[in-house]
Amino acid sequence: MIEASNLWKKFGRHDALRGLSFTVPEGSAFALIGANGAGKTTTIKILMNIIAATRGTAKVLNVDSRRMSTQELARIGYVSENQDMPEGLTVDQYLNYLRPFYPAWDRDLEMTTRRDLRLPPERKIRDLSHGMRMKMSLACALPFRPQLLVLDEPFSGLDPLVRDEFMEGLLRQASEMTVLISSHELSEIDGIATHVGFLDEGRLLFEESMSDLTDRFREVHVTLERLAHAPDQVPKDWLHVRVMGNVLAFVDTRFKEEKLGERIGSVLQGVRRVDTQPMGLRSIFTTLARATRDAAVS
Amino acid sequence: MIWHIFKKDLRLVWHMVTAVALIGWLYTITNYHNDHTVSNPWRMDTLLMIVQILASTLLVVSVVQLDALPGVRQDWLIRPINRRDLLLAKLLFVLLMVQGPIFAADVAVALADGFPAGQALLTSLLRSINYFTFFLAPTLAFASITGSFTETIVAVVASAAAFFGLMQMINIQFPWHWRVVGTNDVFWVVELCVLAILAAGVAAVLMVQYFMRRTTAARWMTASISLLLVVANFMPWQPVFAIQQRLSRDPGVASAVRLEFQPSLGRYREPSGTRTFYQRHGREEGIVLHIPIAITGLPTDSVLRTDLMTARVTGPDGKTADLGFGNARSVWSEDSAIAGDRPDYPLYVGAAAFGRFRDQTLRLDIESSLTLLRLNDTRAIEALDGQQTIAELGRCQSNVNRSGTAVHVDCLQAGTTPPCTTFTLEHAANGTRNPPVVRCEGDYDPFFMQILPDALKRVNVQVFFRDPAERFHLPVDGSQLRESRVVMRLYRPEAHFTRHVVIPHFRLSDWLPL
Repeated sequence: MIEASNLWKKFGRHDALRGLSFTVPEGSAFALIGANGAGKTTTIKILMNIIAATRGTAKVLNVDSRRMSTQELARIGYVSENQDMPEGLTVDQYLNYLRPFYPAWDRDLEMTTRRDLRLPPERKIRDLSHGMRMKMSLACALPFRPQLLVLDEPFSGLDPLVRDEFMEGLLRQASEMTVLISSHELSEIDGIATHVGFLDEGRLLFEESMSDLTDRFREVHVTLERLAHAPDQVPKDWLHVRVMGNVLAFVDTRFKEEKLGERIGSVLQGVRRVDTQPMGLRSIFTTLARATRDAAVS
Repeated sequence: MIWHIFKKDLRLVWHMVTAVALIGWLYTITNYHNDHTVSNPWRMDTLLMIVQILASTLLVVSVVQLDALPGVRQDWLIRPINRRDLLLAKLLFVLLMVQGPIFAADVAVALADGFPAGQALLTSLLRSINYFTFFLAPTLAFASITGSFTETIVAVVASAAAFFGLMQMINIQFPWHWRVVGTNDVFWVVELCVLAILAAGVAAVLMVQYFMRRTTAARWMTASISLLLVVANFMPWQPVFAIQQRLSRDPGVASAVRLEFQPSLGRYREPSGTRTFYQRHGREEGIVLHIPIAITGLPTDSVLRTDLMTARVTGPDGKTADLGFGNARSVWSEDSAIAGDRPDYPLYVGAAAFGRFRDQTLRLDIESSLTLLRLNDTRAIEALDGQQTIAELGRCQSNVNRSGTAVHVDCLQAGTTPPCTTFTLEHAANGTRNPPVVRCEGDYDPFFMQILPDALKRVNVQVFFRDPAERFHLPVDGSQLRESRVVMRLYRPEAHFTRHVVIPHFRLSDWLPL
């Protein structure tokens, strides 16, 4: 559905993207995660042909993103917190305006979405709150049943109630389309994403399916017979290693149940007990972000 | 989808459309009122014209930026909106909502002034094409390369400052080029070039912006086009006049015209008794020499107009240099009252050149670009309360002016007017005539190229029957106005040609005015 290949983007002397490559499989919900300034929005804007890449190519719906025509755009829904919509139009007027551009626009779905998102039809866009705008943006992106839905920081600044409404509106259709989502709200993505890509300073550190990711990340607590200290040689795939009394805790990024004991035994002596815990996306993200930051500092 | 986008835009800026239309109509009504009153003109016409231009600019910029092209936040960028439809919708909007009311007002005024519908429509259409190409289309293109209204204002001010600064710089550096083309009857050629550059440039910028959305490239293109426009304003004389020559109606009519240096006429005597200097920016820049040149071979009822005269000197060593120039001098074949008692050619010589060559004996080459105009029609209008429709001048009326010193002849024309016309107050019964009033100020433009103030050309002439200072008495005075008429002699350009005069031994100081 999306294929980005060696994307580079320079803003002046700053490299916002540095050779970014990733693939979003059809039917997946791909979460692009990364710290502020990692290049998530830049990547999405290149994919949407809003800005041009300095180097590299991207294919969206099997078409070079620079050559996307109205046919392709009619199959893409885009929701961003930074969308400038015609402020002087009412919600009703803007949806009426957009409708003829989409051959697949479904009036019934539009009415359902509007009702669920509780959008005031006569209110002008300029008078909508931030949350309302985001819902408006979603209401404009769903009724034509897009094959690809791109969400750029959709949860930013939304209160829990609006977020729930937004998610309900989104999830109703999520199974019918491919979703590319960038967000800091990892707990929300956790329930949607099937694939994840971790972006750091314009580089993709990894991309894989959510199940592979959660399978290979474990919070590991090793209880030792005496007071613990960090081993001199910490394996590369152990992150966030810390000592608490006689417990050594770390995040295993290559977790395999059957090999864990053997791997711990090769590094630590006097192991009394090993506890492992699956990690949520938020924890994985913060661990990776911290590790990347520490590596940059050192 | 063009109409669909158009309707959306109209819904968003209808209040501005209404305001611009109202201002336009107010301006039109003011002009109409002023055209039909001598005693009580409304003074706000110029102000309204400026307000109308500013309001139109604001509207065009606003409508383009409803779907702004630069920037990364515009919602329309990710909608399946055909770029061609978007561009056409914006053009349609500007044509219907900005140019449309102006065109309608022009037609309405021309019809109200009694011009036939065909003439009213054609003139209004030509003016609309000029207005759109010179003003609205460039505004549209400019708005497409800026992302917000503030950005547009800043860019317009900066560009205007750069453009006029550059013009001024070139003007100071090469003063006479600008003066020649900028004030001459063939300036329409330059205007046409500017029009063509603007049309092509605007099309290119709009294509690049709407179809490729390459703002930086479009901005560079805009800068290049602006530079080209500056250059176009300083087009060299020869090719411009060569184009005019090719458009001569009857080139053979001027074949007998000869120009010859006639030193026996002696030095020119300034009527004021003081030497004439010519000034620019309040500074004396040089001196005006009057070279006695005899003109022979003029057909009857003709006017010979010097569009440009350039003078070049050659020293004994064979080195040549530009001396100066002269222009806009007319010689009438049939009326010495207009031509004066000697056919002098005023030559503007810069201070530096004058200082350098003043006392040297040099060879002087004078190259003259000339236009021969012949009498095309003679019409007359009653001196008091006259009303007359004349094909070349339009609808004319006459009245005594407010100070009671002259017959005021006002003509309104939907189309071009003759470049030269004389107006003579004549007693109908005894044939007594006052000295004619000459109006030679039109371009030789082959078609209507007016942009402002509207689609009508105005000819306003005061034909005096009493000297306001009471220094002299005119043969036809105020007491004879009821039996008098104003005779209008209309001249039409027939041939544009050049003549070369060589004066082998010439010393500038010998020909200083007395």
